[in-house]
Amino acid sequence: MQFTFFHLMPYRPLDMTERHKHRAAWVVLPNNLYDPKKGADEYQSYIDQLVHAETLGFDVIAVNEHHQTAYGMMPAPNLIASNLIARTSKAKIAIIGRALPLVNNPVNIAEEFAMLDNLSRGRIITGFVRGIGNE
Amino acid sequence: MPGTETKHKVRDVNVRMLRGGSGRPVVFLHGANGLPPWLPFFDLLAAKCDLRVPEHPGYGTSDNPAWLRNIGDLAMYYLDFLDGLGVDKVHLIGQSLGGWAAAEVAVRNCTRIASLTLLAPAGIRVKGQLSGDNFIWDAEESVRNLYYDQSIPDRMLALPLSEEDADVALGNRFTTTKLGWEPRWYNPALERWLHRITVPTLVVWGENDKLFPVSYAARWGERVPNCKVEIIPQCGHVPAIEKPDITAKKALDLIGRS
Repeated sequence: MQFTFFHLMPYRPLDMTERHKHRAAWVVLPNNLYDPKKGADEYQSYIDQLVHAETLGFDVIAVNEHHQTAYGMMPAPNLIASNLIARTSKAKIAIIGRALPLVNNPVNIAEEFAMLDNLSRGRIITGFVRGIGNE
Repeated sequence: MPGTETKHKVRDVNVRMLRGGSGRPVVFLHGANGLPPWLPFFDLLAAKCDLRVPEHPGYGTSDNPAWLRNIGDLAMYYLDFLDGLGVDKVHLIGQSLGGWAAAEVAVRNCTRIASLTLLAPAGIRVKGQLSGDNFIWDAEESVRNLYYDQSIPDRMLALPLSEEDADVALGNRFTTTKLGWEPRWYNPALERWLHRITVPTLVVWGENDKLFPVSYAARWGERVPNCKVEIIPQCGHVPAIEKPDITAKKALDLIGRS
């Protein structure tokens, strides 16, 4: 059995009072509720957690993709994966998954994953999703 | 006197069509919500006209052909449709998406068109004048945002939706998205060619349209040569439903003098 440490990276400092003035945390939530300085701290904290998961013995560390939501800060999971490649050496890195319909040119998808595979010396697990309406 | 539902064939495409009335031939092209029921607006037209309300391919229970990918495909199909009616010319009326389709037909070929009435048509974009985004609205907003008089959505939202209705609505949404998603509700090429519409044209717009801003009406008026613009106060995106009397009167005035 293999164990995966999987992150969605929600934006924890969200002002929940403001959040509840809107009908959802997806799509209709205004950008001004995101503080980029706090966002940078969130990315740091979450990437540290994923890296630490390798130390703890997880076989796989995983990221995913969501758009337009406070629920997940990774519209571009490959960028996080790239960061994780540099900071880890043993764990597999799973991207579950890249939303295909949003990318115009499939060659772009293939090129990025080929690079990630090469940069990680084979530690990438590719995953694809069709995305949901919010994407 | 309600119209009757008929089956209609355009070459190899089978569609539903509502038909009623007698007099000058009129074709009404529906919007993104699909083929409407026989509306009071249609009764007003059918009192003076032979009215046909075809369902677009890709909507309702009509055929959903694979070749239908964009508004150009729909326009070419309607050129075939008009040729196949066995009538010299029709008065064409289009609502929203149907208005866009009607304009696209007319810029290509006006031979079979006697007059053109566009009710809050999609099709152009005026930079700096933001449109509403129906794709972001939830189910309730999608009804409420189309009307000024909220008692209309109150009634519509109270109606039960059968599973069959829900399936039809989903299929309609697919085709609507094919046609209107990107670019969002316009053809960047269309505005340039609007001068090719040589028939008398009427553009009607609700002053309180939350989907396409009423300011767009003036641009249509500027681009289409023989064009009258009518703005209806206290009216949202669907003048045919919200203000059927004045909308029908204006359309019949145009039809009568063309």
